[in-house]
Amino acid sequence: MILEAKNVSYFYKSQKDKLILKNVNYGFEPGKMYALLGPSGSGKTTLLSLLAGLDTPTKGEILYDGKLITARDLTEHRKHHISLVFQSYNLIDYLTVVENVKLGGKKEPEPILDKMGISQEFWKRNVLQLSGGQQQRVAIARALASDANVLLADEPTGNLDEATAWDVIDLLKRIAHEEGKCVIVVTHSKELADSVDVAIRMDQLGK
Amino acid sequence: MYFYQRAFRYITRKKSKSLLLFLCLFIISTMVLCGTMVLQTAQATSRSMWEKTGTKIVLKDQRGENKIQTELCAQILELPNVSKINRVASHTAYSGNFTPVIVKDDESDLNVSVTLQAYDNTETDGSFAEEKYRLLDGNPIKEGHSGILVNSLLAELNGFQIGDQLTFAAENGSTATGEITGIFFSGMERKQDASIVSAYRIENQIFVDHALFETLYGEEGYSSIAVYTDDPENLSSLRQQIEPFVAGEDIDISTSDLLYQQMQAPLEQVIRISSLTLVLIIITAVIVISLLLCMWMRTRTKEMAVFISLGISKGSLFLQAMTESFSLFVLSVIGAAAVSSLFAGQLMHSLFETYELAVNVNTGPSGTHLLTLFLLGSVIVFIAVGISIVPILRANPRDTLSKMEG
Amino acid sequence: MKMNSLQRAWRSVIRKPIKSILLLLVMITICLFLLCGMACRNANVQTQDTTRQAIGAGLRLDANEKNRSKRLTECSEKIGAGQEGSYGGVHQKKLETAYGTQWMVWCDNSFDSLQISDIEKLADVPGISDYNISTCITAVNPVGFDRIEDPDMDQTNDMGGVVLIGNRKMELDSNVLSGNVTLKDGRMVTEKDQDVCVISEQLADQDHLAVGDKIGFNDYHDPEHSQVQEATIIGIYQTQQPMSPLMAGDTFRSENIIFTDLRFPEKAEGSENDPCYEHAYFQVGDVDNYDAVKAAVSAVDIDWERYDLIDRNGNMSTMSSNFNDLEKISTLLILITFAAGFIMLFLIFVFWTKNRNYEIGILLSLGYKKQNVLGQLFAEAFITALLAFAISFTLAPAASGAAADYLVSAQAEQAELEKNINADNVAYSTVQSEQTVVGVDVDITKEMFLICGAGMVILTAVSIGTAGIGILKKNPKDILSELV
Repeated sequence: MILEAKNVSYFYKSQKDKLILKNVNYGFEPGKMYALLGPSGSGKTTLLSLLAGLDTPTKGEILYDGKLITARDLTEHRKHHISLVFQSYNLIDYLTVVENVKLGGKKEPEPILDKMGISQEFWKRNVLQLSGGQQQRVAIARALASDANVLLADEPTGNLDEATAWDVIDLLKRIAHEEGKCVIVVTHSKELADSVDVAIRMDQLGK
Repeated sequence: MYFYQRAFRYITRKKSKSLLLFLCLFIISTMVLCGTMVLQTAQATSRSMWEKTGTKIVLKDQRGENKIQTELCAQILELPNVSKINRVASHTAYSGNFTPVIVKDDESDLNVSVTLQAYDNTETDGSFAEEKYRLLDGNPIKEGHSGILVNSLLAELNGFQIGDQLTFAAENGSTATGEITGIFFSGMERKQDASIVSAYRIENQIFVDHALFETLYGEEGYSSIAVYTDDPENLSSLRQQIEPFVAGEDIDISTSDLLYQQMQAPLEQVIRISSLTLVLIIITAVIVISLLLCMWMRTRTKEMAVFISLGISKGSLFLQAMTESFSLFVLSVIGAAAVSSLFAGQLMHSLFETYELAVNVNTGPSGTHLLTLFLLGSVIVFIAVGISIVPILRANPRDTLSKMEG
Repeated sequence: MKMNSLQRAWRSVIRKPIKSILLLLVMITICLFLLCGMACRNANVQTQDTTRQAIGAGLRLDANEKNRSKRLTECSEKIGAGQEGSYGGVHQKKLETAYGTQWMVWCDNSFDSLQISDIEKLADVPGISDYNISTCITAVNPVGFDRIEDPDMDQTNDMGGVVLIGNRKMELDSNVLSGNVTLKDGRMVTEKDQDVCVISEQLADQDHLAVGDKIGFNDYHDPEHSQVQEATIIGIYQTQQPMSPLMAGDTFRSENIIFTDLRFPEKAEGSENDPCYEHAYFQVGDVDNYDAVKAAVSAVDIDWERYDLIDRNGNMSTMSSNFNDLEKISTLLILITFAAGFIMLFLIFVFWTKNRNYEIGILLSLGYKKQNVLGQLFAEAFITALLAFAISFTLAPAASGAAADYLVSAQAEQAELEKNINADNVAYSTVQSEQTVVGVDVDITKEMFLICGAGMVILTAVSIGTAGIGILKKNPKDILSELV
């Protein structure tokens, strides 16, 4: 088990009576692709943020490799253990394609970009000049470059057309299966949920 | 990627935004530098006015004899803030080529003599300054303007005009000749009693420069000297410095600074108001820069959140923001310095008559001012960036990201 | 139904409070800055004027010497050569002496004196704020007190007297104006005084005289028989330097100079109703109008051949270049203030507008017209500007009050310091004490509000226009794709 949520509860400080998550217990394993499924407001993005160390649970704990992620700096967790992919790509607009991937850290960007199918002519371009699918590939490349064992994606296909979306999903699956990473995708798409290894419905996670 | 790499890329790739911030910083730096230069000029102007108030310390021999030594004058001139001295000496002399006005029936030497009054400047001290005598024609004796001033009745008696030569003789036989450069009148001439010996009559008072006086009598000394200062504020300390020089001698010391006293309050006010304007400019600059940086950082909230999600530390982000603003600030200071030394210096030079006093030969802002601007500005940029970025870094990145997504 | 730009503007201002507050703060700051800058400039100009007035300037009227000789000749001719007689104050008398016949010619005061009617005409010229008449230095014999003498001096040639200077207003006597003579006790002579005098501290010390005592004088030519005139001491003066004596001898020495009322010297010398006015001094009220006032004085219809009109503005003219500079300094400072204020505001607005690219793109894509979108930006800026005006105009008096307090308090402190330093020589002339604290008017006037308001509104329009046009030129697709 690479990433584990233990008795995780979460509510907004401003709305204490409204629980977003309640006693969530779940363990994620490497080499598998998971989908968090549920309607808006079901807490799937919240859970993802907690797993990513962007926020801390009100109660309970998140373990990475059996250790508390808060044991060391959350920045460390974000930097070395996980990588994130967003619905709106969140590329830095003043950096080129290659530089955006470099932000991820450890790995050389060029081979990853090759693998992601971004041809060399785009490498030095401003990211805003790329199509949506290309931008999402760059975002995934950036996530891969960090060489983290867990890849978290929040609606990665939300802004993409169907064909491109399936490309991206295939890509993520390959990453899970070929590179042995744990890929967790937040989605509300039934099709996507059907194609992953494990589909988790938020209402089953105990609320 | 290190923070400075990101900072550099931000500046070069977000050209219009960087240019805006740069312009803002540049304008403000230039304004502050110009304001400082203007203030400097104001201070120089007031110094120059202080000097012109004619604030002085007068040393006078109690018996009116020429006993103040030339060495003392030299010593006094060495003192700081002494701008010039006006030496006064007097001595009776025999006329060489003219007849004094003689009324008294007396055969003493004094009744065939005139009195020579030697001045460096007849305008600032003595009977002319006190309006007892006034020039009807010609020019006063001043530094660089030597000559002889004679009474109009004496001139009338001898048929003298400006430009004529006058010769005097001393008891020791030496003679001296000079040119008449002015004719004066008192109005009291006819009020004098017939019993007054010629040498003491107003008509026979003749004003000469020191060069002529010394040809006759050598450097024997002075009956009084007026020491002018360009720093009236410290008149009393100057007086304290002079007092030991004349301790034990029969010399009276007095000070005169009425005009300074009258002008001092309003003129200081002028300077104070100018300084206030400069302070106002600086305060506004600080506030506006801080607010601009705040607006600026707010537009980068999302970017910061993305960086945080990528595991880039907050310290690194802070350094990046700092580096961006700071390097723009450095550029703007360099630009402002260049502009103000290239153009502002010239402009000030042509505008102000007293500007030379302010910065001497050096046109443009001085090194200390640049350094002050730089250091102060750095502190301000540091604080402003700090204030504007801290709330962003402290915000929950999840909130920021989700807000943006929505 | 589409919202109009005003509705959108209002919502944008209200719903994005932090953004609005930042912009509001910037505008308030700049607004206050401009107002204070203008108030400072006003104060600066006023203070410069005070400085100029402190230096003071005036005109002196003296008798013309050439004209005197001419009139003397004319009078002598009227009397007739070889005739004894008097005409116009000139007296001609034959003296039989051992050397033969000699003609003695002398004038009484009426011949030499400035004409009081002429003086009064000149004093009436608008722009002359005050005037003084000084008598000639009149030697008289002291009665009932001893003058100051140099014990080593041979007094055989001296007349053994003291000298009187009569003044209409002693405050304007040249010795007082130059600052050399200041009061130690009592007060100075005014035009209402009669039979009064102000004596030197040395004389007061030597003869144990105090304010309120009476001293007498008479004609030194005949001290035994001439009538004694008494004068009450109303003040005791001190000098910074001894006044230079007009003539040699102890009669004329500084300590023996006694200032009296205008008509006293003639009585003391025994020529009552025949005064000898030597100088008249006209104080120019506003030194800035010096030249105009002088021209007006010169244009008065009197016999100018008799007189010399002498400038007494030496200090003003030597400092005029400095005043020019000071004036330019305040102009330059206000220029810098305005330039800085407006440029900062401009850049901020450009920045503010540029940051709204995305929103503009969305609105354009929704089919709003470009003018409409620009209108919204204007409306937002004006709403903010209106608020900023309201706040800064309320704050402005407080700000200017603080500035005035600062200026006056620093000065009062200085004045206090001066007072302590000068504690031993108390009484400065009235002219001087008025200048120790200069009130500064740092008020903010309606004009300033107007200039500031109009300036900001125009600038807001220009800067939003400039920044807005750049955005509106692009098509919505580009704008939207520019931002993630």
